[in-house]
Amino acid sequence: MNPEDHLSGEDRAIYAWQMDLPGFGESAQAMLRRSTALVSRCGGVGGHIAFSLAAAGIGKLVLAHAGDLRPDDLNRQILMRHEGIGRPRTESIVATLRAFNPGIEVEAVPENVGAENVSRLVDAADMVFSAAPLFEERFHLNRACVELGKPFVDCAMYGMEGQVIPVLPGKTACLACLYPEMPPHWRRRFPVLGAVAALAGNVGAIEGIKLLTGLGTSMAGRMIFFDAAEMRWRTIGLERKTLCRVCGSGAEAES
Amino acid sequence: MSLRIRVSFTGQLARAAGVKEQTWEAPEGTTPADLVVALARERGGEFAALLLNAEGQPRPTTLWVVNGEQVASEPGGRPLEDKAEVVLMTPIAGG
Repeated sequence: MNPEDHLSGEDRAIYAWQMDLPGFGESAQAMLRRSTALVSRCGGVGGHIAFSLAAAGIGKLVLAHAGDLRPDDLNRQILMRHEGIGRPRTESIVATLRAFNPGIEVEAVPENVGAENVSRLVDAADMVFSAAPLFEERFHLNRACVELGKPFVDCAMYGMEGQVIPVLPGKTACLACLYPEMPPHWRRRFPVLGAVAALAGNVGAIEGIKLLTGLGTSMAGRMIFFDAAEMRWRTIGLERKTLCRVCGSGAEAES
Repeated sequence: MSLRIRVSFTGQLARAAGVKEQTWEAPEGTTPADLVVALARERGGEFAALLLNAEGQPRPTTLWVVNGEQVASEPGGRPLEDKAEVVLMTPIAGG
């Protein structure tokens, strides 16, 4: 362990129960502390990702989310505050996370991920979490993560269902392997119970922590899918496509 | 001999079908693509539009899962076996 990885007395007090996890300990805690995670959108799903990463003691969170808080965000967006309605969402996000864990660094970016900022944002992160309500943003992140070799976790929900796809670029199926073109029927407004979004986000946070620390068994290469209405869970083996336009030979043909 | 296949739907597909699963009887040699086209023709409407494009070909963005493993969403796949479990999943991006 490097000297800078040694945990302070306050760290030991806060993360003591977490470090009791078999296979975790001080070394994994130190790995988390020196890690930076990018979370694309801190809404119903991404807010829970960010909150659980903050609780776990991630070193730095970079949180990309544009726009002002609306009343209809509040059934699921756990980092928001009622008094923040009409104000930039990033204000509520930063205030909540800093009050919860002042020992981590929080950088809020009042922008959504797009072609102009995606490379810069992904390059500065060790791990990327994708939780935007639009495929365009997810595809930008997927491409940048593959190009820059950054592990990422795609987390999504719809109604009572959720899915999480951890991706190791170059090794496991990327998002474009699954969806080779823009899904034509997805709509920005979708039915959502906040607790289901929380479930999807927290499964994603667990998978990200696994990839960062080596804890447990990563589900990279598989999709974790749940239907909370029936409490039915599946893990699905995903096919990496050799002709994928992003991570396969189709990318060379496009360039 | 005919095959008995258990088919499950997720996301917008389950909503359009009004059910989450059904059993489908099909002749031996039926591929996942054959199953998708047959189901789309039977149910029609929004359900069919989610599965097939304007030319009646399977959409590559729908995920097809056979016995827990994704298979290519295109014609020409390996024929299904009796009692196969198929899941048809529409893409979701709720965040």
